[in-house]
Amino acid sequence: MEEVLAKYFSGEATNNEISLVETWRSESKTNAQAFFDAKNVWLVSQPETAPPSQVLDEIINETQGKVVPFMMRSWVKYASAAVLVLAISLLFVLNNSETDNVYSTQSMADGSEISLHGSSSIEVIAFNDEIREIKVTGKAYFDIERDETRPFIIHTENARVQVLGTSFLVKANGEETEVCVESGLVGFSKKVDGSEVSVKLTKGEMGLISNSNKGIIKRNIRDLNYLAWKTKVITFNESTMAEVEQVLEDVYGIDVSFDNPEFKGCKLTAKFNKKKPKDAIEIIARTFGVEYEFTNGKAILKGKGC
Amino acid sequence: MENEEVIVQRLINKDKRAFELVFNQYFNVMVLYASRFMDTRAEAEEIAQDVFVKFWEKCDSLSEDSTIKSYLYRSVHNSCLNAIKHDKVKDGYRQHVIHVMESTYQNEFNEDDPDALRNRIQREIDKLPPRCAEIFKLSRFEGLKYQEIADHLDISVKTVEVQMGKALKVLRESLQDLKNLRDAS
Repeated sequence: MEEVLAKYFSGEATNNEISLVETWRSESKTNAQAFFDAKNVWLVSQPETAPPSQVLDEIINETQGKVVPFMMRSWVKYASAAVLVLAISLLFVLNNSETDNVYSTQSMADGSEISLHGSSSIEVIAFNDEIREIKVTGKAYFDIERDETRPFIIHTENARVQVLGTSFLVKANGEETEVCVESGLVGFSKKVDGSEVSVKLTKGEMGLISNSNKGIIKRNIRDLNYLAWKTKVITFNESTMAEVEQVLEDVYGIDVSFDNPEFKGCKLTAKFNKKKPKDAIEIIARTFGVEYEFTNGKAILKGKGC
Repeated sequence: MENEEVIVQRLINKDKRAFELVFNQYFNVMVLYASRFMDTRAEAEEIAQDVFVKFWEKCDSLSEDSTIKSYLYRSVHNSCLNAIKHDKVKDGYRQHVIHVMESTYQNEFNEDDPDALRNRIQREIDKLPPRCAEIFKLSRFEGLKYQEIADHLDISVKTVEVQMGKALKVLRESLQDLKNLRDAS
């Protein structure tokens, strides 16, 4: 038996040997204790390794994330030569950054930072001593450096967002423009029959301008995860798996599918704090007690779920 | 740990550097401890990580006479016990592990010094027949696969299997007296 045990612990055992060991250790108390002792011998004879500094960083940063939820410490600031050349031509579309496959962050000359989700893009209209003006398509998070002498203006197909210094999200798809305010005060306006309609939005509020609607809709932000693609903090509160699927796609850029469509109706309450995509999937699978597969950014959850 | 009182005071003040010291000293020890009970290293690492996350979150409410080491051991012990109890599969082996863990709950963890254990096992390995010790060391310390050991020593894989089994058996028997390897009941 010791030979098979040694193979079991050193990862040399065949599937048959693994089940042999796992059956054997359950057969009697003596066997169980023999396995337990042998395993301990194996463990204490392992070489000492350095403590994982990456885990330490994660712990310190994860907890900080809870205290100051939207302090984006690890924003990627990069300005490659290519980006600079494009910026000079006043038109640049950012590529995904090296550190995250769903967004990239660009620092502007005034210290403002813009994070672009997926294939979203911005176009610089004017950026000088008097005005800061850009156009956005898609979804972008802005952290604007305060400068009262130079307003920051963001144009979309059908709306205008004007700020002095604040942080907020803009989502624009041509049909609709949505603004969610994270801090500060945001002016949100549109042209109606030649005159301008405008609302002021503050922290926790969102505004929606839609081509199918005359006015500007203003309400509190309900989507718990509107910034999760950037913060990697995801909250589900009785969310259906169909919603979960959307959020995970948005946050991690992964494709989630179910081999049984009934699973989509199951509800999940959970919080993921800067988890890796695979870990998030694994937690969900465990929550529902189902199996899963995760390869090349594609996750498949198996079974009925609930 | 040196100046434990000072470290505890710094932890109460949420001193990152103090946490780093504690982490560096105890993280691997805790993974090792959890590995005794959990089936996979991944599970053991997850438990240790969760314990350190909670420790860092709550360390500002430590009492001044806290002992970091026993706090960590106790947390890991309880987390492992909980995890195994909540495991769907409770075969004879896991039942036994639960029994061992429940009966060692109040043990003095201070005897659990991994450095002393490491020295002890090193001495026991040196007492093995030379070939047997060499093979065991190549596997455990150098991380070689059986096939690699066989190639390196120009022997058959079967011989490696036999010698590894022998080493494990002898070491297990010679370490029987270690209290922390035993069922305390």
